[in-house]
Amino acid sequence: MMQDALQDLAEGKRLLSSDDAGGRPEKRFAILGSFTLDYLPPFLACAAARCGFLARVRLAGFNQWRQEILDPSSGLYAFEPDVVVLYAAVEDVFLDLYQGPAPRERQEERVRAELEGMASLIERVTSALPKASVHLVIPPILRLPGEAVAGAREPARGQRALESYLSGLRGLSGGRVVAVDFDWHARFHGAGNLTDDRLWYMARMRLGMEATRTLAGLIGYYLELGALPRAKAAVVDLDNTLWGGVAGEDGWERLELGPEGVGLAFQEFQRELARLRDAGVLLAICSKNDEATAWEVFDKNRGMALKREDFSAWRINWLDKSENLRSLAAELGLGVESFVFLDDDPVQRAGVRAQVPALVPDLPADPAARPRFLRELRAFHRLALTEEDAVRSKLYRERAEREALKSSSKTLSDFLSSLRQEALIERLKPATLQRAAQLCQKTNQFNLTTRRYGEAELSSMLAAPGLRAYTLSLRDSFGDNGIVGLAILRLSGETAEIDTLLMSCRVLGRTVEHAFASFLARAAAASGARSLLGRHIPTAKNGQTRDFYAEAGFSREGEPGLFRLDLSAIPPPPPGVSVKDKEGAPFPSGGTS
Amino acid sequence: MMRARLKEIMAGVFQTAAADIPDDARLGSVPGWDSLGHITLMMAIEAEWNVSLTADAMQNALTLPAVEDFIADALKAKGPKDRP
Repeated sequence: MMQDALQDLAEGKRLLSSDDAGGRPEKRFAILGSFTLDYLPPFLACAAARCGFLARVRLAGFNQWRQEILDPSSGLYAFEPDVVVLYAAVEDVFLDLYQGPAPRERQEERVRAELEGMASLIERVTSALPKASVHLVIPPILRLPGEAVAGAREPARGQRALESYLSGLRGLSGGRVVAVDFDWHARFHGAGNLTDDRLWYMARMRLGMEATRTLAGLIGYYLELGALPRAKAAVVDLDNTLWGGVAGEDGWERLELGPEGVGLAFQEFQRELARLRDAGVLLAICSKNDEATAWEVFDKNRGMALKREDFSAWRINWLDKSENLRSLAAELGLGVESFVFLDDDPVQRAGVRAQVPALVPDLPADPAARPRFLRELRAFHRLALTEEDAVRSKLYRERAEREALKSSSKTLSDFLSSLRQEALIERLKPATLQRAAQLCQKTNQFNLTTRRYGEAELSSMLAAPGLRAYTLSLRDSFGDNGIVGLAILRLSGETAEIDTLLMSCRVLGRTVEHAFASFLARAAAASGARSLLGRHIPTAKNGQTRDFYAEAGFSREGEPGLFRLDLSAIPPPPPGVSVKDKEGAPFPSGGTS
Repeated sequence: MMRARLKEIMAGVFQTAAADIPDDARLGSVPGWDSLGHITLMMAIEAEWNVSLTADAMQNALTLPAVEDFIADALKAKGPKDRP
């Protein structure tokens, strides 16, 4: 609405002239454009404020973008921006094509030249401003060079040339270059109202006021994607959220859920949740309900798109929801602030909001509006889907199945033997360096010394005399977990020391860590050592490893956190995991078979 | 009546008080009424009276009375049935 735009404009001007950051971090934006963009600074200030930043904005002179980039002493560089917004309208870049029809070859040549030119300009900006990101606006086509020619392939129309330019422009994104895809946005929301021809003639503005506000919002959206941590779990209520009606009163067979009408809206909501799960978001349930009644719906109602096993954890009880969210967070090993809580009841939402820092959006009252609401919920958006996202969802599912098996096994040793764990311990090698370094950087909980070695340091250990680094990979009946552990042994004469011992927390409590320690003892003994030292260096997060060496049969030394194992009496390896080691294989050994 | 409302709209756009806008205000005579402020004023007028101003009007409505005349013309062009 124009009124909203006018209001934002006034608010943005106020923000730009205010000295009070209100505790918000400052972000410096340099805007480079090929046409008048005077409305963008105030709207950008508003959009930035919504993302929690105080914007400082510098707008370069009309159509000065090339000069500003090419001149190392220009105001652009002196301003030292955090974000460079670059908007070159196709109508300006291809001005010549708009002045008269050009043959196809010439158009293709022009597109190539402009893309090369743009790539080198961006390269200049990123190298001169080594910390700044470039928000490259993919411009919507506001006018075609030859609209009177209707055939899509007619060179006079210019459509092919412009589309190939835009797709090439998108290809320039990556790293610190973020494509702000205004063109794609416009295709979805309509490009018809973006321009106001009167403003073009009066002020050389290619965008109307509201369109400029839309663009600022879009830039804010990309900023948010880069700055905010993505939500990791969706925690859902059941009655009137996952299905229509109350299971305990209406009965599983009379719920609103199915292929038609409002029931379809609920079903679609479930499908959207399933898509989130496939993208690596954990699903959990938090519902005031009788547990058996709730599962009956999952088991019997054919309208359910989600199954029990899609959920990693649940609290179906009559306890306070905030409490339940906290205990779900503990179970899943996540912070509660990474939860999005979806509940139809405003009272429950308010209660949760007041007590835990989870994100609690106002779910629309109309179930028909909810699937779209969920799709558009920014907390789940991200710039790119990583391989890790896909793997994570698979890992979570396998973990859930393992947990199910754990609760169905009578004893821990039953459980462990049903897992059929096989650990493979190998010397660190070039192919495993990257993963080892990643574990070193990321592992907090089961990490005895928390020494953060990088890839370079680890690689120098490959050939260092007196140093041996080992990786542990683990397979079980549910699949391959890959490399989950790293240990570094320092050998010097009769005494060896465990410099580093860490395990990914997803395999802890399954005796693998003890099997690893037992292997280290044997490896140290084989190399001639008589005793093995282990050290626990406490951090804020590794409290659970405080007594690890004592449990592994080491005895405490005088110095706190120091343990010693006499290698003439190595305790037997723990049950529940079969260990294959490739110790003794000379490095480099090549294959991993 | 229109004048009072117009002054309020101008005050909002130019970020000043309605009392500080004289009856003979013109582009350049009031802080904030510069070329960009002028376009913003036109957008605000279109939103307030639900009218559409021509580029010609935008270019020539450079004084408060002229702005009033153009609004009156635009309202007439809309016809009575479109009036809010």
